[in-house]
Parts: sequence; C-alpha cells; structure tokens
Amino acid sequence: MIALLALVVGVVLGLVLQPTIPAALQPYLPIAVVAALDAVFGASRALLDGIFNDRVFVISFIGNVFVAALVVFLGDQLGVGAQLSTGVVVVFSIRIFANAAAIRRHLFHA
Amino acid sequence: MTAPNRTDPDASLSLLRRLADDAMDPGYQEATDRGDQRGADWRHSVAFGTVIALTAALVVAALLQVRAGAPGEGRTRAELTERVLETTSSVEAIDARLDGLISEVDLLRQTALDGSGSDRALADEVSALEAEVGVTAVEGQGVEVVLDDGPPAPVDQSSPDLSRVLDTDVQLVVNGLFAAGAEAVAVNGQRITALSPIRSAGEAVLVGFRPLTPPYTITAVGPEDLASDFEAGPARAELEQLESAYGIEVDVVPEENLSVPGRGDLQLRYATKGESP
Repeated sequence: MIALLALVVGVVLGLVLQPTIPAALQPYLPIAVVAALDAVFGASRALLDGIFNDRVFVISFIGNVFVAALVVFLGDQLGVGAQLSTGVVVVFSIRIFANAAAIRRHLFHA
Repeated sequence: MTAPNRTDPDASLSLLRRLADDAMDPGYQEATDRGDQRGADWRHSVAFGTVIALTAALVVAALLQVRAGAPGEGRTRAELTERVLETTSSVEAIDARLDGLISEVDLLRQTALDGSGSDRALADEVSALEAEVGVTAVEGQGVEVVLDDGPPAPVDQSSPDLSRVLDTDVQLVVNGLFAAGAEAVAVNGQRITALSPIRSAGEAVLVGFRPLTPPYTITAVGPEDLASDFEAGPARAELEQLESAYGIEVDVVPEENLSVPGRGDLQLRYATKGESP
C-alpha cells in the first residue's frame, strides 16, 4: 500500500518537477538508477520469500546507490571511470537477473 | 611432480557464482534470523516510502534526461562552438592588426623613399615585387575555378574517397593557372606564395597550413587570355577526367574584376638590416 502510493508520488514528482541533474552529477545518474533498481529487485524477492525487512531495504538501497556512485567517482578521478562504470553495471545486471529469475520462479513456479 | 589440483573445477567462476547466489541482499536473511520485527515503527514506513518515491523519481529523471537528447553532449558541443568562435574572432582581430601594421610599414617606406628619382624607382620595384611574391593584394581581370566534392562514393576503407576534392586536385588547378600565366592565385582567400604548401591532413585540404572546406574557390588574376589558356592547357583535360570519373564538380568562370588578397605575413629570411645612409 505504502509502496504503491510512494511509487505514484515519486513518478508524479519526477514528471512535475522535472529535476535537472547538476552537470557534475550527470555521469552518476544512470549508475545510481541501476543500483536503485538492484535494491528494488532484491527487496521484491525478499518480499516473496517472506523475509522482507524495510530497515534492510532502506539501508541497502542507500548503500548501493552511494557506493556505486562513489566507485564511479573514484574511477573518474583515476581515469578509469568508463571501465568502472561498466564493471558496476555488469555486477548489478547479474544481480538483477538472478533476482528476477528467483522472482519468476516464485510467481510462476517455473 | 605437483599434487593433483583438487579445487573446484569452476573455481575461476566463483566470483560470478557468488554474485548470483548473493543477488538478494544477505541482510534480509540475517535480519529474519535475528528476529527483527518488520514494519514495527512508523518511521520505518516513512523511510520505506521515501526510498520507493526516490527510486521512481530517479528513474523518471534518468528517462527524461535521456529523452532530452543527452544535454551533456549538447553542452559540450556548445562549449566547443563557443571556443571556436572566440578563437576565430581573436584570429580576426590579430589579422586586422597585421593589416594595420602592414599599411603602416608601407606608409613609412613611402615617406622614406619619397626623395629622388632613384628612390621612386626603388619604391616601384618593391611594390611590383610585393605583388608578385604575394605580400600585397592584386586586383584585375582573371578567372575563378570552383571545385566541389562529387556525390560520395560507396565507403571503402582501404582507399581515400576519390569523389572528394583532394589536395592534388587543388594543386592541379593552381599549377595549371600559373602555367597559363596567372600573376596571383588564391584558394578560398588564401594567397598562394612560393612558400604555400597545398597538402592534406586527414580529410581536410590545407593551404598555407590553414584547413579549408569545400567548395574550393581558386581565384587567379592574370592576363586577358588566362581563361582561354587555362581551358586549353593540360590541367583542364585532367580536370575533365576527374569530372567524368569521380563526379567532382568543376566550374571555370572568367571574371572581369577579381581581387586576390595579399599574404601579408611573409618573413624576410635572408635579408638583413642595412647601414642607414
């Protein structure tokens, strides 16, 4: 219930405010989105497993986004930002795939 | 002899396997094992809702940004354009200053050589030589040759696209015009002197080290029969071949009144300052 409400509020806020990301943060936005999606997929799977815990979700979400952005930022400073972005995206995509597969097994038993 | 390796045959994949196995944050399992109450506190619900709203807003922002056509890219391009324009205007300012200095030098020379008949003759010789080597602008009748790229040929990585105007094509026209008796020749406003290379760098044609863009307009001032001599010369025949084989557009127009700019920045390499009389 809260989740749905918050989802709608978030989409509406994003559409209405049309937040302009500061130029300095723009390279980190896609990474942050992927990290956030990973946290959401993990949470959905935990929900289906019946072990969802909102404290863990909030902390893992913020931690994911922050660490992912930090890693890419460090990479940028060291001149390997593009490669590290690729690495971060690969890691998160693998996790998202694994979680999506688990969710699929739960929902369809297949 | 080394002991047989007893480790997991796909040990090298352990990283990937662990990634997939730990896909769900292990924190959920640990929290459940600890017996953490979920949703026990209204603050938890607020935090949870905030994070979900944040995710949605984040995704929407990212989508909007991508849809807006990557403003970062546009910004970079705008910045580059601005810098190019800035540099161009500063080059123009320097050029204008150069022109001013050249006319000042002219004026000084005229006053210096404004004495006896021999001085006058010397001044005439200097200005005649200046026109010839390309320091000063030359005006008069002549011919204008315009070269433009033909329709692009199918992409072939191994050889340059011959439907483009190459440096050798521009050289051909310039040499042909000089052979036909041209006194002064300029390509896109760049005066050809004895020290102006016509070459290519990448896809650009450089004349006097300045990159030019097509169409290339080669302006030549010369005697009355310059146009007809050029049309009859071997260069024209070769141009016709370029036209028919590669589709390069060639346009030769005799003009009554043409102006070929001066080069202005010729350096004296061997002359030294003489004793003042």
